[in-house]
Amino acid sequence: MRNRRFYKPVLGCLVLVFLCCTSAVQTSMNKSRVDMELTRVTPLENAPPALVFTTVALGGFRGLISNVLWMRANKLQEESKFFEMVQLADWITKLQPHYSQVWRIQAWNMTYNISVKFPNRDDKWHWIMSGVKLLRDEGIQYNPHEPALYEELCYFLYHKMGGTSDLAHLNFKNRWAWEWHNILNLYEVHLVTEGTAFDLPTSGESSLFILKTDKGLHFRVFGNEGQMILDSGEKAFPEKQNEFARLNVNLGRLWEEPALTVGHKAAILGAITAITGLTLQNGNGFPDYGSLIPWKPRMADFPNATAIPRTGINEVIVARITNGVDNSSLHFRVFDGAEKMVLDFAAEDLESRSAELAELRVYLEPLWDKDKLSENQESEFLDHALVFLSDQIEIIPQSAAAIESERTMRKLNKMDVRLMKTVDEKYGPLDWRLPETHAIYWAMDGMRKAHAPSVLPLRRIIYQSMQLASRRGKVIENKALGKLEFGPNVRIIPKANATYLQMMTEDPERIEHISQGHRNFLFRAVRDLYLNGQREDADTWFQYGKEVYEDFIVMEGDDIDTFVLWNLGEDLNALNPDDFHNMIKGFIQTAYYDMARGEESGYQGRIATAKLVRDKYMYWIKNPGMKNIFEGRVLPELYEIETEVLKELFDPESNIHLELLAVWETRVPNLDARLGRTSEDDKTVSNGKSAGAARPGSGTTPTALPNVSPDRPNTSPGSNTAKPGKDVPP
Amino acid sequence: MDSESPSPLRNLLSKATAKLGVFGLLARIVLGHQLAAIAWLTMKSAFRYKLFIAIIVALALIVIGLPMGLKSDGTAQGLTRILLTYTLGSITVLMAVFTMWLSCGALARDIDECQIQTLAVKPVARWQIWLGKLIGILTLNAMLLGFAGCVLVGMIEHRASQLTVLERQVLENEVLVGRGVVRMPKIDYAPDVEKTYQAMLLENEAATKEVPEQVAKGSILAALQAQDEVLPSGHTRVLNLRLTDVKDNLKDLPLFMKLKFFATKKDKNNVYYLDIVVGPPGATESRSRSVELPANTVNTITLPPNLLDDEGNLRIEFSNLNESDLLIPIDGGLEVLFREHGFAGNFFRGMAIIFLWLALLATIGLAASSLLSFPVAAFFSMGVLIVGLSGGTLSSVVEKGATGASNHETGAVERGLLDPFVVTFFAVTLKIVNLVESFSPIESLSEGRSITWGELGKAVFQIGIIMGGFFSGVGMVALTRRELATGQSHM
Repeated sequence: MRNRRFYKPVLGCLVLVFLCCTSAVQTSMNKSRVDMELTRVTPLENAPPALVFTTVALGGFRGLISNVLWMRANKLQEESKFFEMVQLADWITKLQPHYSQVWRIQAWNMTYNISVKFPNRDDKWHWIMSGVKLLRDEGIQYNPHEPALYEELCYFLYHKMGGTSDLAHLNFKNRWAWEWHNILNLYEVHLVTEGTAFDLPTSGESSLFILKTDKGLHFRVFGNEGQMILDSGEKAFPEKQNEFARLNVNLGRLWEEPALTVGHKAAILGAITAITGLTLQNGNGFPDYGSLIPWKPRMADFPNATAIPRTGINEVIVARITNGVDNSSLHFRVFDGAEKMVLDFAAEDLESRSAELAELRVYLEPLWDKDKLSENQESEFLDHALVFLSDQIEIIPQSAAAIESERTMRKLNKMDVRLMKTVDEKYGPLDWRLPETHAIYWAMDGMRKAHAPSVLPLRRIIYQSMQLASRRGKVIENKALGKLEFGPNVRIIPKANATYLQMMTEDPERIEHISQGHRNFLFRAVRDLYLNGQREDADTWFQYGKEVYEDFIVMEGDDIDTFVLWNLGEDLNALNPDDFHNMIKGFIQTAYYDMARGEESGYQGRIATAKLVRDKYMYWIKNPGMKNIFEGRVLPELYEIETEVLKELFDPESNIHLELLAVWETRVPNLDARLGRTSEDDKTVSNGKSAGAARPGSGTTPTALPNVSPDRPNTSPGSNTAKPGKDVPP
Repeated sequence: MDSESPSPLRNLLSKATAKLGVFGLLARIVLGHQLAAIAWLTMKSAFRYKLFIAIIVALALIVIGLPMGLKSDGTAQGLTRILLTYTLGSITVLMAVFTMWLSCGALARDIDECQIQTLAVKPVARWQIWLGKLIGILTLNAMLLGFAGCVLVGMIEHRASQLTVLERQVLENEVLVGRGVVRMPKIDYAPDVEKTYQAMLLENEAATKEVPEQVAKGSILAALQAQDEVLPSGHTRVLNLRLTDVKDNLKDLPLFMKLKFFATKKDKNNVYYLDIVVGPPGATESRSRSVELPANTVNTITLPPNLLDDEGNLRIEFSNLNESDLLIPIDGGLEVLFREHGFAGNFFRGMAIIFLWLALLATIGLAASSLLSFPVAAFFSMGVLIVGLSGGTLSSVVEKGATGASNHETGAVERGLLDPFVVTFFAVTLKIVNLVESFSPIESLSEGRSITWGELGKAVFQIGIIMGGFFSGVGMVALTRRELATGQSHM
């Protein structure tokens, strides 16, 4: 009887022991299964236990259950009941995790089919991201060698978000950009529940303190350089009670939260911006890899010291020199965040520390035989190495913000900062707030992991994304309106061009199609450079275009200025004087918008183009070949057209945003005279609000631009005018 | 002294209460001691086999564990809907299997193992034995459903308490509520179709008769329907929905308009523009909104409170601002939901319908086991359940009028020799199945739609009295007429 009492518990313990043993050999068994080709499909990687259990335990019934779930999903979708779709997609994909088609269809369904069923932008975004996450966070993680999944994810990123197929595409781009802006440029947020405003810190850097008091919330904000830019309570913003109520609700449970996530911080910063008008999200989309990339230890065998890598970032290399003479010779090489080799010595150089070296050798001994170190082992190894090297170099630890940024990218977005850096080096500088940059990243990741013959579609994605990035890959923070806008990224034109050339070599079947795209790309590159005020670079690419494509010249004259004018999409022969007048006004107006957005080069480039158009027009009215304008009227001087544009912009009926007017008020010289205003009172616009006092902090320091209108009367000859084209007649 | 001594009746009651407990005593009073004793024996056997404990654990796992692994659309109402759908669905399935197993086992095993003979020799009618078993199973079902329902409501309330005030308000308005529905009134087109057809005959009989009458009438019907359903480009249509009966209860409460329309021209982005004015014309309460809505999906628009006129009519004016004509189907195109009941009452009625389903399964199981051995009875009951769940297949066959597949392009259906008989059989079966299946408490609860007392009464009549009564009658008669001494399969 006594034996029987212990019988079942003993069996239970045995089961546990066997399970532990199984888990220990599982990895090597999986490897053996693949090596010996015992499986029809590759075993799932990184799959959670529940998924592995489902795929094994249900066996052949998985297909049957999956069918039922597919049918239910279709039925619910027909009935416009979408609340179950994420769950059903999750189950369906988990039941058939090997089939890339299943992942693709489910993700596509959410991103494309379901998202368009919602009028609300938030809902649309939710469904788009559900599809993206299904592929990025699960499909690709479990099937890392499946190129189709990377291709689909890239397509979502560069087409659904980066393209213009959806009416709400600008909203998607802005959301994606802000999300990444916040990840890359973390503002420290501190929620304080105890003490008074006097107890809050008096210094800080890029940090926000929110104090909860009996009288409401109190904000203290420190800017990038540690300056206090705001210190006030709720009462200072009496008209923002609704925003405060919303913020209070959102802060509800966060007061007790020990660590705020990037999402929490982004939401809080957005709310503070809405209340105070301060833009707390300074920064850009170009990661500082030196601070973001965590220190990584690496141990490997090399035949001699020259074979050890000479480049790296935040990396400690412990090399074992296996030249056959002495198997235990160690060599140390360390690269810092600036990719500088800060340490390079052999163990023999450290005779004085032989005891410590011996200790390190003992620690390293069991690790040499391992294929890959676990996270814990890496961390421990790094600690040992750094302790050993502590008297040689001082390693500056990563900041808390950098650690959190990196963690968010790795854990939530499944991205590796080192690969991001590689992508940037190869194709950049890329702005990581843009979806097409992420498309390039995932295409490159796919190309690294997927089987070589099937990566051509991923290459296509890269060149298409590069085309998009060069055309629209510059994120412009419109501080006047607190929005992100997009413009051409002329810095990556050479690399985008290189991807086209590479693509033409690798995809000969589609060479005609690609070369047509390449030609159009060059057309656009020349124009963008020109409008960006880089006339010389534009001319270089124009000459290159002429070398590569015979039909690159569109009109007699063969000069960059004429080419750009034609390239702007106008059939100049068909234009009449009014059209030219309007065209010039259009350039000037855009130039003023660029000024408001802080795009100085764009402003200069467009004003120069406006001048070019007028000069050309004045030349062509004497040319009988231009029949629509021959002997046409003389257009006003550029300065007068500029004044005309300014009057239209400041006309109350034009409903221009007050923030923009405020910028022009402070930056356009002689504005009062040009608008015919006589006193300060005239600055008020028709709705009674003062444009100059539109919002706190905007345009408080007048920084008038030098007048770039070359035709302005009484302008000194040395003023900063745009360079006229060399072929432009007087 | 006399006044202080307890009366014999009180004495008896207190002794009985001490022995049987309050519920046992009540059961004896209501059911009579024979029925109560048999019911108690049935329950005891469930307890003895630890089945009851196992089901309780399984239910707790479903109600507590399932929500932890569910993914929703990211909203509180989405999560609550999915939680209600999956937990109630799982509870129903688990309870259905439990009920079927228990009902088949309770009687068939008793007969097989001759235990029933110890009952049958007592002065108890066979129908009382049968009914006692049923009552025992139903009592267990009620206890288990009550337990699962209470835990589920507790879970939902706990989760809801963690939401912000705004989210909770949305949840209470859209899911944790029983909402009534008012739709566009259905129009009987038959007289108009007939009238138009006759007029066409009078006008040109020969030409009209060239087309088969059914086809011609179908075309006339489509044209008449189009007049009411199509909203041409640039046009406005006014619809009046009657909420007279409930207008007093809707003060300061929002309404929810569900609109589904189709467009004749497909927009690349599937976005269409409508101007919607709700409320009496000219009144200050009227609300006007220009909205961008996708076609071919159900759009939910929240209407502010107090838009009904004095008579309780809700006036809705749609203006089509698109180049495309829009079609708002009379059937399912527009409905307005309004708060009718609270969640607690709605949930109770929903659970009551689920209980009725389980009761029907119990009667089927008991009826089968009155006649058949345990495995055969279980197999038969499962078959009945599967037929019951195949309502969709049955209705598609009946709709098509054939069992064969139809050609997707032409719509032609291949009919087999046996099809007339099979389709007739299916039609009858479908009618029977629909008596039970026409209720959807889980869907109603997850969508926050009202389950009325009338609906519950109908369910009691259709499921409990008609269907349950039929199987109970069959079961009782079968047991009464069965020779119990010959049923020992193990002997």
